[in-house]
Amino acid sequence: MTAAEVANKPEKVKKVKQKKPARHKRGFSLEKRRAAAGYVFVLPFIIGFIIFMLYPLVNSIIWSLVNGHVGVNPETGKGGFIIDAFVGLKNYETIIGTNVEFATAFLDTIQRTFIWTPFIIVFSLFIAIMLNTKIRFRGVFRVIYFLPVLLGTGLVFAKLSPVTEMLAIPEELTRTLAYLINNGEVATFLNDLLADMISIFWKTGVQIVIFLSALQGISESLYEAARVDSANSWDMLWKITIPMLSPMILLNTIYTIIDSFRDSSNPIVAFILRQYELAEWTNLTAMGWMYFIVTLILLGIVFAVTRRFVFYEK
Amino acid sequence: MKNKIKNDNKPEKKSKANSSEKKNEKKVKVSSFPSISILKSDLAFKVKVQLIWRRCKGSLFKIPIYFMLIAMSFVFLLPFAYMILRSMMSNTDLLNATMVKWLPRTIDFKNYSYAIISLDYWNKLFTSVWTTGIAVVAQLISCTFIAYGLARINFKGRGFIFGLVIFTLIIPPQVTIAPTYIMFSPNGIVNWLDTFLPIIVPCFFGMGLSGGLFIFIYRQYFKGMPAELENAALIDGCGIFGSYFRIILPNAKSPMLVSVILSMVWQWNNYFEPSIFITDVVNKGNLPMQLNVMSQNLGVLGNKMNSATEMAATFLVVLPIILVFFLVQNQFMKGIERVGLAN
Repeated sequence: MTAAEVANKPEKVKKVKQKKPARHKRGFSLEKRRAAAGYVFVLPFIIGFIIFMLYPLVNSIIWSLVNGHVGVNPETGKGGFIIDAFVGLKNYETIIGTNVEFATAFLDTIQRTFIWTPFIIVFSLFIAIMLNTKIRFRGVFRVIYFLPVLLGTGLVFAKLSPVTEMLAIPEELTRTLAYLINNGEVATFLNDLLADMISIFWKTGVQIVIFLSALQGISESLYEAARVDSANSWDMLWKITIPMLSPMILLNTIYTIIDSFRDSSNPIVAFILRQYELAEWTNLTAMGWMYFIVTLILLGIVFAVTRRFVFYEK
Repeated sequence: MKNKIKNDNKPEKKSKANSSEKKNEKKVKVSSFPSISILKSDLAFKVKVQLIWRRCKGSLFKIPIYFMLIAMSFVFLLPFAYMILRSMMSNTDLLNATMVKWLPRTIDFKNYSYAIISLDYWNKLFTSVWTTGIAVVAQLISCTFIAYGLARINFKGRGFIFGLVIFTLIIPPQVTIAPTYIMFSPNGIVNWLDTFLPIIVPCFFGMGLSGGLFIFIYRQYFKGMPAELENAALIDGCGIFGSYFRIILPNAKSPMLVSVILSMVWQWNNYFEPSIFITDVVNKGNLPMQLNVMSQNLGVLGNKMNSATEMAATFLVVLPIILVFFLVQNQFMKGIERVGLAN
C-alpha cells in the first residue's frame, strides 16, 4: 500500500489491519488499548459533568430567558419547571431597572473584589516568601498562617466578627489620616480599607499554600548561578522569584476572584439566597448569570493585563 | 515539633560555620607570612570579628523577618484566642465589659455543656463526620482516577476534557443551584431533598466542592512522575489499572494528603449547599447549620445562651477538624512542599 492510499482510505486500512494482526498487533493495539483506557478513566467525569453541570447550566440559561413556575405538567403528569412564555432579556432588564438594592449590592461586590484581590495577592506572596526562608519555628509559623483556612469560611468567621472590632484601627489614626489627606472621599476609602485589613488577611490562607508549594518548585541552581554573579537577595527576588512565580500569581488571582463568589459575606450571595427562599427561579438564574458574566469580564481583564508579565519556562 | 526544626536547621548552620572557619584559617595562614607579632595579633582579632560577623550576618538579616512574621501572626491568632478565651467566660465576666476584655477572671466550662445541648452536638457531629467522610473518600478516589487518565494517557480530546475540568472551577455555584435544586426536589427527577445525596453523589464523579481543583493538583503531580516508573511495571505484565493502583497511587501520597485535608476542611465548613438542600435543619442538618440556627435562637432561650456559649459552640464545631489537622500538620506541610505546583 502506498502512502496516498492510506490517506485516502483510512477505513479500509483499519479493516486490513484487523485481518492481518500478526504484523502490527503489538504496537498498534497497545496504543489503542491505552487510549481506550484513557476514556474509561475520564468517563466518570464526563458523566458527572453532563448530569451535575451541563444539564443545570443549560436549564439555567433557559430559565433566565422565560417566565415560568415550578409545578406538575398537566399534560405529561411530570413535575418540574414549566415554561409559561419566552420573554427574552426582560428578566435581566427588570432586575437592572427596578431592583435598586441588587444594583448597589452588585456594584459593591465588584468594587470590593477589585480592591481586595491585589492586596490578598501581595500579602500572601509576601508571607509565603518570608515563610520560605530558613528560620526557626518555621513549622509553627506555617501552622499559624494556615489557621484561616480551617476557620476562615464565612460562617465561623462571621461568628468571630467582634474581634475585628476590638482590633479596629484607633480613632486617633483615622482622624490624623483625615486631617492629613484633607479629602473626604479618599480618607473614607482608606478608612474602610484599614477596617477590612483583617478580613483581607484572613483570606490569604490557600494562596499562601499555593505560593509556598510553587516556591519549593523553583530550582536552587538558578539562585546559585545568581549568587555566583554576585546578585543580592533583593535582585534575586525580582529577577528570579517573581518571574518564576508569575504563572502562580495569575492562578492565585483567578482563584481569589472565583473564591469571592462562594464567600457567604458576599452581598450578592445573600441576595441570591433570598430569591431562593422566595422561589423566584427566573430572577435567581438571571442574577446568577449576570454575576457570572461580569466576573468573566473581570477575569478577561486580568488575563489581558497580566499576559505580558507571565513568564512560562518553556 | 520545635526540637525537630532545630535539629533540621542545626547541621546546616554548623556546616556553614565550619566552611567559613576553614576559609578564614587559610586567610590567616597566607596573611601571617610577614610574621610580625603585633600585626599577627591584630590580624587574629580582625579575623575573629569577621568570623563573628559572618556567623551573625545571616541571623541579623532574619530579625526583620521574625519581627514581621510574629506581628502578622497576631492577626491570625487573635480571633482564635478570642474564641477560646471568650468561651470560658462566666456571666459576670461578660457583663463587666469594661474590665474584662480578653482574659476571663474565672474559668467557666459551663458554657461548653450549654453549647453541647443547644447544638445537639453528638447527633450533629455524627452527621457531619459521615457526610464529610464519604465525600472526602469519594473525591479522593474519583479525582485521582480522572487525573490519571488526563495526565498519563494520550487520547483524543484530552485537552478539551481538561478544559471542562477548569470550567467547573470557574462556574459559580449560584448559576447552577436553582436547576439543581429543582432536579432533586419532589417535583424533579429524584427526590433527594433533606438528604446529603445531592452533595455526596457528585463527589463520586469528580465534581462536588472544588473537585476540579483536586483533579488539577493530581494531574500536575502525576505528570511530573517519571515514565520509567510505569514502563517497568507495564513490561512486567501489569495492566494499566494495575499500574494506577500499584505504582501511581502509592507514590502520590503528598498530593493525596494535601487534597484530602483541603477537601475535608471545605466539606466540613460547607454551608451554602446544605442550606439549599436540607430544609429540616433541626433533625437532619450538620454542625455549621445547627450553629447558625442556634445563634438565631440566641436570647430566646434565656440567660443560658449568651455570646460565651456561642463562642463555645463555634469552637466545638471547628474542634474536630483542628484536631485532625494538628495530627497530620507536619506531613501536610511537607506534602505542600513536595506537590511543587510550579511549571
